[in-house]
Amino acid sequence: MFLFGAACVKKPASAPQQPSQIPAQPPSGDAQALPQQLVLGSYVPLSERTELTKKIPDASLVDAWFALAVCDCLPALQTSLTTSLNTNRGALPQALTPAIRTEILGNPKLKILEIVPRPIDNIVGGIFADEVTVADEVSKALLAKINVVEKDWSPASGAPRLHLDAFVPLPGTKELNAGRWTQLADVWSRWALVFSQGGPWSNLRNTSTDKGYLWLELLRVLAEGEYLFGLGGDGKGNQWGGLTLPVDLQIINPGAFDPRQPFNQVRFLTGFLDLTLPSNNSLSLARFGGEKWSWRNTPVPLVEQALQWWTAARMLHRLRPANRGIFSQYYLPGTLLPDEGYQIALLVLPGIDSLLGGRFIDENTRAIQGALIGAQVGVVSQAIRSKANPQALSTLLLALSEWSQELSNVNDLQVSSETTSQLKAAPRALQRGAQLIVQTLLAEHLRARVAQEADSPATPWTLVSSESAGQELPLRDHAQVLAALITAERSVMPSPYLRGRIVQLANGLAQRQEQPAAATTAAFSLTEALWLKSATSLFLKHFSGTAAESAVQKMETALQQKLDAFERSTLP
Amino acid sequence: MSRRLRTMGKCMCAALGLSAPGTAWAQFAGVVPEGVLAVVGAHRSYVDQLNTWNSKGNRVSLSQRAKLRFDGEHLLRGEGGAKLQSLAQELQRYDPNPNNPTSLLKRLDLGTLNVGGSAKLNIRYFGLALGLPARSTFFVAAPLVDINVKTSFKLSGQNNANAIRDELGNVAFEELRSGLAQAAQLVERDVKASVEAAEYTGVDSWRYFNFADVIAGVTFDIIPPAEPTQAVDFSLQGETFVSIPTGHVDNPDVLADVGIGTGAWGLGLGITPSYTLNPLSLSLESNIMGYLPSQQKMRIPEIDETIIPASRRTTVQVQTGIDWGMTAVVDAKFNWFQPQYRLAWKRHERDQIKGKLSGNYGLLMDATEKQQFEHALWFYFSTIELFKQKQFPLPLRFKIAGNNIFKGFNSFENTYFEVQLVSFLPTPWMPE
Repeated sequence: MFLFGAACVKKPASAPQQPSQIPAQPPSGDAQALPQQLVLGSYVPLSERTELTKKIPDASLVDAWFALAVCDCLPALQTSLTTSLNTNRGALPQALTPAIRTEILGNPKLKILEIVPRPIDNIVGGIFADEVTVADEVSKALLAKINVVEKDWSPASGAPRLHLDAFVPLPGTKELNAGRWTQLADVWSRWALVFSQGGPWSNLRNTSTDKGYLWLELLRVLAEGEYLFGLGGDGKGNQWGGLTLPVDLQIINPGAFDPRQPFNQVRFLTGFLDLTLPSNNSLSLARFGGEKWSWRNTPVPLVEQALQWWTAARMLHRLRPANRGIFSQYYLPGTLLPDEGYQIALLVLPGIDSLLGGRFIDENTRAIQGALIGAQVGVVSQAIRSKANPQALSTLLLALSEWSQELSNVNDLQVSSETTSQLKAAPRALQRGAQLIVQTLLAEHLRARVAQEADSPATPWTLVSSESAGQELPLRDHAQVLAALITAERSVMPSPYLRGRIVQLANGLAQRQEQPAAATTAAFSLTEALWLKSATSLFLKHFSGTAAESAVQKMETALQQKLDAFERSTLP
Repeated sequence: MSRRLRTMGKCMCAALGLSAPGTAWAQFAGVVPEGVLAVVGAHRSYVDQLNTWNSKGNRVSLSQRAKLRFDGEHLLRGEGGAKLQSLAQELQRYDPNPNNPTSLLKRLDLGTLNVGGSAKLNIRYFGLALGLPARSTFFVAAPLVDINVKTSFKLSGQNNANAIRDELGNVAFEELRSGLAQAAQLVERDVKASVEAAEYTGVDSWRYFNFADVIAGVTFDIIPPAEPTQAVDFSLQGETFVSIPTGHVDNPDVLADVGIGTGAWGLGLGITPSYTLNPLSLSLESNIMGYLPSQQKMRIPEIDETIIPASRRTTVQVQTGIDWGMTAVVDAKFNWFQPQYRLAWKRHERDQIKGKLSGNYGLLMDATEKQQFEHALWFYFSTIELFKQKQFPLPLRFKIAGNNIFKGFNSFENTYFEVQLVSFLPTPWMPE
């Protein structure tokens, strides 16, 4: 799966020799170029994730990006966040991404390195290509690629070089501790935003001056995907990358995804990984690799996996042949995008099946676990016995609904007949998972706000915790569950009964929103606003004429005004 | 459901009175003269039973009692069988408050199962009574029971399973949708299949033709009646007897069977004072019977489920409750004709049932406490006086009787008619 068809690394004839140096750790995000706040009213700086988490305990940065991707309702902010990603350097130098690595090794001018003994290759390599030169050449090659789609586009002067470092931290991430690491939840939320409607496929590409960055981030996603699953290699049997772990976690050394593994050895991606590099020299890294990843043995949260699965479904949706439309020409060989890039998304499917069946879901009790603990992940009886909360359940419901829709027709996917038959059978299993989630939500987390009037279609219902004696959950969770239920009902499980509950939940949401306590809350987070907006928009789109319509319409109008104001105040 | 069905069977057949106190049927001859052998043969035929009494003493129509509602609440309790119970349990998972009247479970209604049936019951009993010295008589009697129970099922009413299925739509698992579709097509055959799935036999019919518990004992005069009969007289008769557990004990695996016997050895005492004012006499027959502990097989409900799976079959220790009974008898003696009116009270105390398998034993024990009032009109026709006057070749006594239970608690209402013939024969031990 090669992203580039031609050599892109050249040595300028008169370039001054510079010491080869890749920053020991990725630089911090440039807060000045980013939205200044992620909350309405309280103005919490985006530049400090720790502070953000303290002040908005219900919303992590990952949550905010995911909410933004699902809502797809702040296009300018989405574009701004996406295009700012290139300002950060990634944890993995671009020389180690398969796309760039192949180009470096294939460059005829660097063939001489093949005969240079390794101890001195840094010095000799520096004679032919210093770090700046390599970075410039990569940047030029990337620009050339992007120009296939966006004629005459180029970064603004003074902007950082285009680069294809992998695992770029989210904007606002300031502190990365010592060394290099990546959190895969960050990766998924970043991908989610790239594949949201605000990406290069929307009409934004016709108005944004930064539209080239949208394509760059798409290339970065594909490069990261190729590396994460270890799909690239030198053609001599050596694979590059591979950060997957076996689903039973008996071995916790990251490795490549191998689709030939038996089902119980399916590999998946999770958690935090730390990276150690043997060298800071791009040419040496490209030639010899040697990077070492280690996985931090931490619990595997369901919500993290669900986010990954949702993002993968959106990836398939965007890249699959059936949906390319007028962009089909850019998938031709030698243009911009690999024709088979969508197949990366399909690699998460075995993990969905294996992790949900018997691990996250206890098939005897039908309990859905919130997390599985590291070394015991393979044994459900030893799983952490805490049920998944409504937020995790609704994220999973969104993911399964997306996948069910995507796999409802697989005729355009160029996969083997065996895989095709497996894909055709998948929606039924996915639907069963979605049905269990809805059943769990209905029975354990939904309650009438006025118990005596529970029967009425107009009765407001709410969302409660199953563990805190019926305490109402935050508005954000209420809205997210409502959005997920509407999505599921519309896509995979049409149900008059569920529609009735949705109307009651929408009524409850409107009632809670109007209560003085909710209206005067200072920390009205962006994440909450985005989920409210998602829920209300979906409701008005699919539930017009129902009892809750006028109340929801009123709420949606007010929300839109707040979000517009936020967007205007946040962006330059 | 099975428990109710089994109750149905008992309603129709336990009208036998075999488990009721009293041994009047066995005391067919009273005190027989020394050396005389009385031989009895009788036939008792029961009228179809229409009503029963509940534990509060209210008369309940048997057809009403046998109506089983197949709504969500009852199905959840297992009254429609394991499959429909599973269906109800699954529906319950879609609502935070299944007790809400509009919950799916509460709204589910598959109709009403009307359980009908018939029981043909005839009893023949045979006995011997041998007059002993000291105005005592040894007697033994064995009832031969012929019972044939047939059960019928009929579903009526509206079935809304399809509407529930459509309302749930695709939010329901395929199994639930399929289950609701099947429930919408529920027919009597499915009900029977669910009962049989719990390893019950005899769902449609059951027949028993064999002996019930045999009674043997001694009757003796404590204060004998005057000889010859005086115008005014007082006498006192006593009896002691044992009940031998030869009858069929309720089989937990047979749906419609009836416990013909108690399954335990019983020991009874009786005393009958009589006051005679020729030609009338007034007697008060009173008796008590206690039982030895016994072991029986039963299916133990966990709560109050009606189809109890075979896995809950176990051997239990049963202490059968005491039987009490008092019967006031007024009769008039004429030369060859003796009419008699009888008014009886009978009570069976609560059985004690214990077993190692945990479950709701109280439910089983509650059903054993019974009380009933009955009256009867007997007519005797005797050739004894004619025989004494050598005007008839054999000393015979013929009885025709009608008996009716007119009030009860946790009991039955029934009527039977009986004909009986006793012949008195000389033996070599008859004194000169």
